[in-house]
Amino acid sequence: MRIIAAVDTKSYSDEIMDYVARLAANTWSDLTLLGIQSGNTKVEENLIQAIVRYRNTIFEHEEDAGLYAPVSMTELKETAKGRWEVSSRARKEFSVVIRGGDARKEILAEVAERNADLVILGCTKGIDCIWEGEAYLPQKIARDAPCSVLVIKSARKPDQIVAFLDQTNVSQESLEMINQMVTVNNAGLKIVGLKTPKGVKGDVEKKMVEILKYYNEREIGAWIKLVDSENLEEYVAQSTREGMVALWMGKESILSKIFSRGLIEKLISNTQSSVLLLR
Amino acid sequence: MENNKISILILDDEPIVSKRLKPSLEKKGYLVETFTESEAALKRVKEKKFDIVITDLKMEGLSGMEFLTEVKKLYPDTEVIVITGFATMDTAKESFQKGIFDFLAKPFKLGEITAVIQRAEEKIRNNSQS
Repeated sequence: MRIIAAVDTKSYSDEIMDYVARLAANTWSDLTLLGIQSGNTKVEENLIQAIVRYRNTIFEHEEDAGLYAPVSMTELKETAKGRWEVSSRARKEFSVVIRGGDARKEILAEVAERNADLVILGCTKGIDCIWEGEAYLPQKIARDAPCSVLVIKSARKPDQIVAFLDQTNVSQESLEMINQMVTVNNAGLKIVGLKTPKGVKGDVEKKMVEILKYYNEREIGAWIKLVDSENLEEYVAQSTREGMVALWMGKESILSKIFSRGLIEKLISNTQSSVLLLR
Repeated sequence: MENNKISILILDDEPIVSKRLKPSLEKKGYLVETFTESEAALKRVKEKKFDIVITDLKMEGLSGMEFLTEVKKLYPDTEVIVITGFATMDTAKESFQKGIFDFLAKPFKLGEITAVIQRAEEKIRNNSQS
């Protein structure tokens, strides 16, 4: 798995680092710490200092497993205008990349360049989710990134993952990403399926049983809740108080049709914990 | 190696994994056999040595960890790649202690596992030359 943790110098970036380190160490992922700054002529000293702290947290979590090789900030090389990088490889690749410019544009460019599976970022706890001085940035990344995005508003480890799956069309990658989240957090799993006002059709029920069987065979204690599609928005909002909310928003997902882009943004604004958008 | 081609055995109880990997690896010139049951895969490795073994960990019956232990016991120079949907630091450490080549958490992109296979192939070819 390839993970990008987008960071700046603020406390919310500090707060997500334990989670990033734990996830990366447990999944043995290639990890990029992507530092974003406004200027693109030279690397800013306060960002370097923050990244050194984040890097140290990452290395504390890898328990001498030889997962990553250390990198020194003095070896950062400018690879393109406003982009600096230093990488190392032990068992997995560890990179620090610094990009200067528009945060949204720079994060999405790095996601594309690295073909990442997951982007993680924190933000302020209010509804505007400020990141690097810009309001609603996590919402924009969640909306526009081609891969899964995890927005962490509370560093507290979730006790439960509430996964909203489009049971008629759920992707293997989504099921796998949920597996990893449940394993890393040692959390319970609630799978939420959709029913129409007319009730549950036979094939929907069959698919939900298959999904439940999939998790039970893997010794993940999951339970299922069926929700009217009309009440979905309200139920999702309520679930943000229960733990991490995971929504499959792949191109073929019904959820991506029910949830307009505006609703995703609202969900991230209103959540008190974490939101995982699966693609 | 048969006719200088690298042989790969894939074991995953989810058929979709082999279904995704097999055609792509065959297109790259690898000889690929796939299994969804560990007992059947073990029977096959007892009959034939594979250059690379790709195995899931969590499976019914013989676990992936037990399977890879058997593979390394039979053929210490077979390169084993672990793929798992339930990765933990402990399972990764245990796998590496048993001499695996790499450990990949699912989901992964085709390009990621192909790159790992290519690195394993490079190692195998270098070892066979020396």
